[in-house]
Amino acid sequence: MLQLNNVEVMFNNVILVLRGVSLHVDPDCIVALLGANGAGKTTTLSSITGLIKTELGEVTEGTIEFEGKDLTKMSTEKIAQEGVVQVMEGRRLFAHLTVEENLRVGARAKKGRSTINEDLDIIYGYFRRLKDLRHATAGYCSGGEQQMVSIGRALMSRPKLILLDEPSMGLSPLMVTEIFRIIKMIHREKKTAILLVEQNAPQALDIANYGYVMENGRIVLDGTQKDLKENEDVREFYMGLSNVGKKKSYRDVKHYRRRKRWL
Amino acid sequence: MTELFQAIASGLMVGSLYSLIGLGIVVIYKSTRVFNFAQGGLLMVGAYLAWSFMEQAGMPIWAALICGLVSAIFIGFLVERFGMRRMIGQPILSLIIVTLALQALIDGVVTLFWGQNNYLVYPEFIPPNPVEFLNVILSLQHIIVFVVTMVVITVFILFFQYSRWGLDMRAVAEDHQAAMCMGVSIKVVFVMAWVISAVLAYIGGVLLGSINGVSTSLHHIASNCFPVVLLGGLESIPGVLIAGLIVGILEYLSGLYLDPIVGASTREIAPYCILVLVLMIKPYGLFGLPRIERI
Repeated sequence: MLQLNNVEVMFNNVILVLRGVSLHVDPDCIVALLGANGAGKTTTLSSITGLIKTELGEVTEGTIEFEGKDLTKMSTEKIAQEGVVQVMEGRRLFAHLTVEENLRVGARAKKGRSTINEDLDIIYGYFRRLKDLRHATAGYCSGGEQQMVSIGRALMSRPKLILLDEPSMGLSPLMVTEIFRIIKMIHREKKTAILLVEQNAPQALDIANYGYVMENGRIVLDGTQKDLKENEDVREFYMGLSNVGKKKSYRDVKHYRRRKRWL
Repeated sequence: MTELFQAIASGLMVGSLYSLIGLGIVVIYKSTRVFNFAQGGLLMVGAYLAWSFMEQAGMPIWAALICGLVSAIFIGFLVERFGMRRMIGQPILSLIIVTLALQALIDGVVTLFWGQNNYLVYPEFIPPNPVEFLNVILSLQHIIVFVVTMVVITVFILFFQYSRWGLDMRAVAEDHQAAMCMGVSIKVVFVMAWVISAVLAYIGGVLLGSINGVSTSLHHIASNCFPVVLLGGLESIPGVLIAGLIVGILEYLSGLYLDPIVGASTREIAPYCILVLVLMIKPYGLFGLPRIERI
């Protein structure tokens, strides 16, 4: 469905951020993209939706294809109309608009407007709390509520693929669980493919079918949910799970430092 | 007592013209977060173009006005296409600087084509007959200005609140990138905002020109609208209406009561004094949206 082939992204003609990223997302699939800060996860998403163009970035090599169409040449709004919607990091609501107005803007990516009210009801079904808040100013909602609006806004256009950038950012553990439960539910009911960028590796791998690990602008590891969960490095660096309860010595720490980078 | 009523009535009329001109700035700010310093320039070009179509091309007045309107739309389009579009996604401050450059450019172009110090007068198309109402004398021009402003402002309030285009424009003002991700075309919104604003500037320019005559000082009159826009709160349409009326009335009242005491013209500074006072109490203006910050 979505296919990135050896994508290189350069900012300002000097800073090479992605050094040959290849990944694919199958329809009806949740794919997790993991990695430390600065690994290039968000840039990968922005290069798919073309947002990097507004930040003086460009795809210098490789192809990005969605259902056979080349996305690198399309404008962001056109890509949204093709059915690829990015939920940006940090929620990015239209703060002074009401919750419902935010959701209505989300419907702009869809051709035809007859189903807006129907879609609103569906969103309020997923996010019960938003129904009570529909006339509240979005900027004054709590973090969790804002994340709900942000995801709901993306769903309004009935996208084929949602790019979710750190939905757990700044939320309480309880709210994170809730958001992930809803993401999973949306995926199951709507058959929407999801490309999920997360720092919270255990949560992400719980719902994902497939995962990629990024570092320094490259994909260093990929595998199915099960493979990654059992991979020693992923367990150690992203889930903090190895050697639990065992005695640690400085030698282990050194070993950890040496093995921290794959490439 | 009649003097007071006369001052208030005249102030209302002139103030509504400020509101109309200020509305152009508000529309651009509301949809793109750019403060358009070139509004006075756009207004001046509109006024000059209308004069050229009437006098130099010798068109009948209605045809000249329509030609002027079309050129205003064209100018708005040009400004967006060649000035603003390349700046999408750049810091807002750079876009604001572009409008300053545009103002300088328009000043130069107007001087180039129409000369520096001439004072042009439209052929009479609004009869200047005074109208007397309850002992208050008003010119027909002023009344037309007032009515036009009220109609235009009502239309825009409804447009921004209820139409899907208005919603798009407000969304773009909040966050360019997020709006793009939602499939809103920033280019279309920018074009709409600038065309609307150029048309408003044109209407303002023709009305102002028919009252004061056309000269290069027109954009100074237009810059009187900056305090109006700030007082109203930059993005509020009802705000710009009320602020315009307040400033208009204050100008006339200070002319009536303060001038004899001070012994000089206080009209020019009265709006700024009020602006400072109001902004001290309400930093976002009378009807501005407070910035929402989460801590």
